[in-house]
Amino acid sequence: MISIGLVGCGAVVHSNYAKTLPVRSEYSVRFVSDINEAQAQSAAALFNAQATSLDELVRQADAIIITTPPSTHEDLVLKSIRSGRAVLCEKPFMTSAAAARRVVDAAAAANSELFVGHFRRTFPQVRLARDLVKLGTIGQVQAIRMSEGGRFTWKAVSGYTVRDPAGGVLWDTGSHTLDTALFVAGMDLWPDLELSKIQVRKDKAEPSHDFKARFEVLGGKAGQSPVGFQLHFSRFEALPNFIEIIGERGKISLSAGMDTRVRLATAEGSIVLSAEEQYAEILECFELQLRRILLRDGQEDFAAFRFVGLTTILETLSNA
Amino acid sequence: MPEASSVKTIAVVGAAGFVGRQLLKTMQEAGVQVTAVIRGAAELSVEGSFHNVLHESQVTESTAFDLVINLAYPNSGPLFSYAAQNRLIFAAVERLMKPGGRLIHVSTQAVFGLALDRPVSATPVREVRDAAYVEAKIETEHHFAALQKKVGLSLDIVRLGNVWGYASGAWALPLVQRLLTGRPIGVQGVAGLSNSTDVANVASYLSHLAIQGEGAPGLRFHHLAEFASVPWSYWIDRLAAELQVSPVHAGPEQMTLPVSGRAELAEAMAGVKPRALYRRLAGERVSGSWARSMLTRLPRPLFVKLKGRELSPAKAMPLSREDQMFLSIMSARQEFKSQVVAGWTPPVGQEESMRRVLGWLRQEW
Repeated sequence: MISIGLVGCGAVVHSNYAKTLPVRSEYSVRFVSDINEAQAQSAAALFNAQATSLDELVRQADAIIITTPPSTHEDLVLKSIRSGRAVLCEKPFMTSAAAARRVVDAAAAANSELFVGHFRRTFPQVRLARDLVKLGTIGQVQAIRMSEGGRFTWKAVSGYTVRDPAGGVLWDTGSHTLDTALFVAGMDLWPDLELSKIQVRKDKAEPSHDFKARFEVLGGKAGQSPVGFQLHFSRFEALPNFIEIIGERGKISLSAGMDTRVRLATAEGSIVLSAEEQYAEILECFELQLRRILLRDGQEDFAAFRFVGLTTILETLSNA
Repeated sequence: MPEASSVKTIAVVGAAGFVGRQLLKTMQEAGVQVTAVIRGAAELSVEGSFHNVLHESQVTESTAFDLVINLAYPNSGPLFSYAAQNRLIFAAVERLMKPGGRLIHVSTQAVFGLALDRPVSATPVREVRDAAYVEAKIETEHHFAALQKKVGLSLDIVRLGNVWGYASGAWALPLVQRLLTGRPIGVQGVAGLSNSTDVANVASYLSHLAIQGEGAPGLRFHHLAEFASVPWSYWIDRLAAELQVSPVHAGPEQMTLPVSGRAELAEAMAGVKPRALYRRLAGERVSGSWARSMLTRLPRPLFVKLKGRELSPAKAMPLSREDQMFLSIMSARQEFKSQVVAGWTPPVGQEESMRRVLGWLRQEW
């Protein structure tokens, strides 16, 4: 039985982790910690776990899950990594690419496995789209378009989504959508990303609630052309929740939310493909992510080094 | 736009929603000060300096208004919580109203069924078992009508058609989403009427009623769907052309029309029904006996000999409940004709409405 320590007991713990962690016999939450004592006690009751200090949790837990606001992630990850231990950090991973590299290097040096929670990578249509790109159905990726928006209802206990510079729509919703696009396009494996030709429009300084950008991303293998990006994220306005990966021979369209279908279009026409896996509700995918990481069964998709590029994009855009 | 001078104090309940935000904007343009009453973490959606923002929890009997416009309805959480959510909305609306005050309650054509499959008339509807959303909407109409009778208030119930338009999360968005990802957007051979209304026209009409309406005691029904006779295919084909995709249609055999509350109840009870239990024990087979199941596995000639007939043709997989509900609305054959007060004309016509939606879709900047 893997004993889990939960650092941070806010909204995501009560809404998602409380419904997905207790369903397996291979692991269970034994320790919880939060600077807000009431939240810690509430989470302890949910998991039948012990509310304890961070130091005690770090000392005792086999695996650690960090669900605090993003500005606290670097310190907590550095404190949590230990040889043989899995550490899962919730998205958004780090607030700067430099910090992301620091924690990835520190985890490798300590022989600790560091993961980032981006559960949309388990969505059926996302995996199908990724396979289609990998198989070369659309050729080299040239451009990516995406948008996601709607009435904002997430109630973070800490209020970081309206106060923290890394709590705006780009970091909160956008990190999900951008990550999905990078994963599908295989760009999360690019060792270094560089942005150019950046244009940004947003409603206000970070944390912003409506964010539009156009830019190009350089990197990848030799011979890879720059990939043009166009994105719009909003907490005010309903927007098509979709991602379009445009290649030299066609394009792939998929929903940003959980779905099974992908539209593959070429100059000859388009076809709708459906993934075999189907899940009744989104939390099944959340649970699947946890299972893959905690039981080391398909955990590679969530390895922290794959999120450095995403952090580079988020940091560059939010400072633009 | 009418003069604002005749208007006193106005509260909009459910102001953070799609129609609510458009209404605030329209009222602001008309120079009318309103108070936006919101729930939860919706403050972001109604940020602005012109209107006041009041959280539902701050509503007391001392914060009473001459006119309350109610747009709120249960729209999240488990279906069984809708009745309790309705109670909270009723209480908030009643606390906001002055004795003998005025209420404009915004309802929906869905009180006649999601697929508009019950007779439509601008009169009270009877209570029926239906989808939770429909039942909640009917219950709200009944509650406010009873209140009107009891205290003699001025009550206008405005039933809206399918609210679409720029950034419509209820209709423009799902149509685009379905076109992009190839989910069914219609049923083959069924030309459903859109019974639609542009959100800008909804806001204009509510604003018109608020500013110019008589406000005399009594109950009045209004129906608003200026594009009622426009078929869904008109909007869909234009969107599909813009997105350069072909719409996907479900086969009629995949549909169970109309979708009713019975299916919802059956779904909720699925885990405890003896038949469901039997199915689980019998290895998830859908119907029939084991013997019959084995029969179908026989070589075809032997099967035909034993049964004396050919196998029935293959059937497409049934659609998900979400798809069924969506497509049942897309298949409505009855027209939800507008019945509005004299003197108001919709400011946004059919072509302009389409142009606005395409502008939203293109995300031009």
